Amino acid sequence: MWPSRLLPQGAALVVGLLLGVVGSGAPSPPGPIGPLPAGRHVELVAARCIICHSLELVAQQRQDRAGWQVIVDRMDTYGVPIPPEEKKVILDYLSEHLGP
Amino acid sequence: MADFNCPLQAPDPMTRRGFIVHVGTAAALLGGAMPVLAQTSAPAIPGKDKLIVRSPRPLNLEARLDDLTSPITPYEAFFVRNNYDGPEMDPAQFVLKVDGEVGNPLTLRLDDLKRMEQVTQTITLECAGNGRSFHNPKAPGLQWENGAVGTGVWKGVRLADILRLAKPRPSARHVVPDGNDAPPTAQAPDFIRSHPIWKAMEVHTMVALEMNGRPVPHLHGGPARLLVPGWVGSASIKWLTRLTLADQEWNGPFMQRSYRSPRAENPKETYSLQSLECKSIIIRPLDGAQMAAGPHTLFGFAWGGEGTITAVDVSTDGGKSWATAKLTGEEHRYAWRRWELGWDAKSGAQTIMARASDSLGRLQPPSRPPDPQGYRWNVIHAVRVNVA
Repeated sequence: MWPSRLLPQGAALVVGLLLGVVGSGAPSPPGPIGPLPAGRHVELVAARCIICHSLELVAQQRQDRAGWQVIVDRMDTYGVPIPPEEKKVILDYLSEHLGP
Repeated sequence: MADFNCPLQAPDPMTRRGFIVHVGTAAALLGGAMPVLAQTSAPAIPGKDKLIVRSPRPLNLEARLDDLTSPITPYEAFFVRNNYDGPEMDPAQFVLKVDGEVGNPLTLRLDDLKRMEQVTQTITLECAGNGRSFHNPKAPGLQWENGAVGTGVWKGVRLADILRLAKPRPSARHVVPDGNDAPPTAQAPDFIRSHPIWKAMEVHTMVALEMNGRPVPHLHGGPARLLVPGWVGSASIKWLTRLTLADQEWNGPFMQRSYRSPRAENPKETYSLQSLECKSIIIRPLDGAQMAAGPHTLFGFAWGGEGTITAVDVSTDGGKSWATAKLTGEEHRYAWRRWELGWDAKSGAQTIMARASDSLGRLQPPSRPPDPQGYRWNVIHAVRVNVA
């Protein structure tokens, strides 16, 4: 177990590495998560979206980057704060894999 | 951070497919400190397994046209549309408050509502976004095909009777209903849509306590739900708990941002959706059906919101010629109308189309201008069949 006082930083580092936010050079893109297609940052997208709704709701959309931006910005206001660097990679994933 | 009711602690029980989602392998690396994101199991929605799951959470279920054969849609085939899910409510604890611009605020229990004059009405409900998946360009939102529509027999109390008891002041111009649904975060806006007082007082607008002869099931908004007949489904607030009379329209995002479409005369302006469009769907044959040559009965349903259906024309030659279908069964002010037409099918690939017209002079169109949020889809329904 992680000592509890180290958990926040430790967890952030591990999650960051797993999500590819820290460092790069992951050997292969992560596999699909439920209905979300495989792709870089899919875990982050899943982790953020599923706070409020199922992933099916995401996977059935087909939007360009501007369309996704509107949606992600709205979710931001709904109480899922998404830092700008996360927003960028989330939009990368969504517009690449769930584009028009 | 908000104190939201986060599914990280409460795996979703409403999902259908049996998959388990982890944040990569973080959970294992952290010795189980990262919880499972979503754990789903076999169908957990008794009686609703015929429906297509558009979203497990919030729960949104679409009917297959295959199952919409009856003028009264049974529970098993009735679509479910939730902006947010709501907890099941104990009828014994149910309270409906009526407040705002009234002289006599009310607190009504279920028994109080049952003691009032009861009315029974056959009413069609259709989601504003039914058919969204057919829009081009693609509109964001649930990608419904044609099955977010159904017709129930609803019993309950006229909304006007409840409002009169509360003695609305002259300043009461709108009714703001609220339901017991639960936004997933503290910041997500409550799902509220208001109605002008004229529609609230109209004799068909009601608070339903029964659907198809039994208490309104939880998934359809029980113990008590609003029914604003002829209007987009979102007007008919589920799990009703409060009616506030106000001097102006509700200014929340579900009035001012969602459920709006461009005006025909000026597409830069939008208006808040009220009446459903004039529309028909073909129930038989199903798209892609293999049929034997010879006599068949084509049938479907047509509805027009504030308009009543005056005719349904059917083409069996891809729109070159049209024949008038027979309107059958009972006619109700705010329910769909069944139509049928005999057809002597000849061998080959055939395209069948149905086109409704209504008392407001509306004709189902062959195409639609863009609707950025994907509402009002009522383009002529066409099915393609192969006749052997």
